[in-house]
Amino acid sequence: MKKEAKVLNIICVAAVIVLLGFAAFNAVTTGSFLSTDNLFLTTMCLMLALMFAVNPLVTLHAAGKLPWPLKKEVAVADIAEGGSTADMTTMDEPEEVHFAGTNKLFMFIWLWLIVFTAVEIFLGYKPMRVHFMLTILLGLSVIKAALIIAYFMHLKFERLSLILTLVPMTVICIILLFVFFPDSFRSSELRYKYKEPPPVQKTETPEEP
Amino acid sequence: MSTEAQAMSADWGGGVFPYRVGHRKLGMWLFIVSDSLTFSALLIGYSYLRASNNWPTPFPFNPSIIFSSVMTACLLSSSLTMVFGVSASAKGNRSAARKWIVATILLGLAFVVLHLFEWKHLIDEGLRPFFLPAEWVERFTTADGVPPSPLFGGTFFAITGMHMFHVFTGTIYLSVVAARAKKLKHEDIEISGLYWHFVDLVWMFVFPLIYIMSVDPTH
Repeated sequence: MKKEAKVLNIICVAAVIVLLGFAAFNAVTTGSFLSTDNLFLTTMCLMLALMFAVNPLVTLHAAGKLPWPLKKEVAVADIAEGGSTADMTTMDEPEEVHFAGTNKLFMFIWLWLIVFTAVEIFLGYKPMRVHFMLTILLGLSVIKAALIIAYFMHLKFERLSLILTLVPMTVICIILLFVFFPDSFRSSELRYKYKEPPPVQKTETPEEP
Repeated sequence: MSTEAQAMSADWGGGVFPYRVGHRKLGMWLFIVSDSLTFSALLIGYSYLRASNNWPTPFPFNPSIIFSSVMTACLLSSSLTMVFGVSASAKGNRSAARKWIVATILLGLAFVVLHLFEWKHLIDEGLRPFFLPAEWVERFTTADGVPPSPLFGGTFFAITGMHMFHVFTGTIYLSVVAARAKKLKHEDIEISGLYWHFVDLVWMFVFPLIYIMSVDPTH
């Protein structure tokens, strides 16, 4: 292994150990483990540890020390593909243009997008609880987004490494933003509600003795 | 070396494009990721406000939902024409690609025009970024006496305005690409397609969250 690769692996393993150690230290020393803050911190530490662990794991796998049956088939296909895209070895514009997907496929996807949109509009007029409506609408929107990204934006036919670089990160960042919602529910309960008439200034009439 | 290691070094051993895409395309993908995070932040901020306030649901079927549905159909169709354009360009047929891109631009402009009409309907009714029409305040004040939030206007105009800006800028970008279709590389036409599909993608989230969640079921 080259020196840089060795140093990188050492740094990654050290980071994994530090992160896991911190997560464990936090779990042991905290009063109540099942609080939002603690769970959040633990999840973050574990996730970061996983990210740092990728490089050493891949190195081990490349050296044959990690059994992973599925990867073998992908690799064989990659090698076959690697031979044909030899022009990629130069930093010029790739001459070979591959655009998978027929016009028929695209029309089919478009049709499904229209159908899902019609379903959403129809559901908008059905009386149902907000959480239900939101879940269905967001679920359908995510499916539509996935169809557009995979087929129209062609990501399905790109390298897996590109998909893995772009998609999980974006999804995780968006989900992290959801951490604000408990605060919005708390805030909605704080709203001053008129349960009785607003207080009126007492008049200065003297009472009868 | 094992086959996995060979595949890995074929991809990451140096001398090839990372991810096997050119730098311009990768740059567009990264821009798309960052812009989608911007829109997510806007939409989640809007959702936060909706969850914590009394929110009006004023959109009547005619004209708001009809207009916005036609707008959605326009944008979806423009994505389809764009993908046809990129496909034609991949086959080497640049003049067909140009025609498909022009169709995309026209559908995109139709979207913008319809959206501006929608804005005009609402502004005529009295909606402003920080004020609601008096009729809505009356209609949507709860039995408890809690008035509807005037932030409806602010969030509506901000989010749809930001999206409309992206669509409009996209039509300008696509016009340049269409004008220079024969001189550009195929990759550049593909990249402009990526941006346009992203604009459509954002609308897939804006439409249900802003329009369908604010439907007035009685009108």
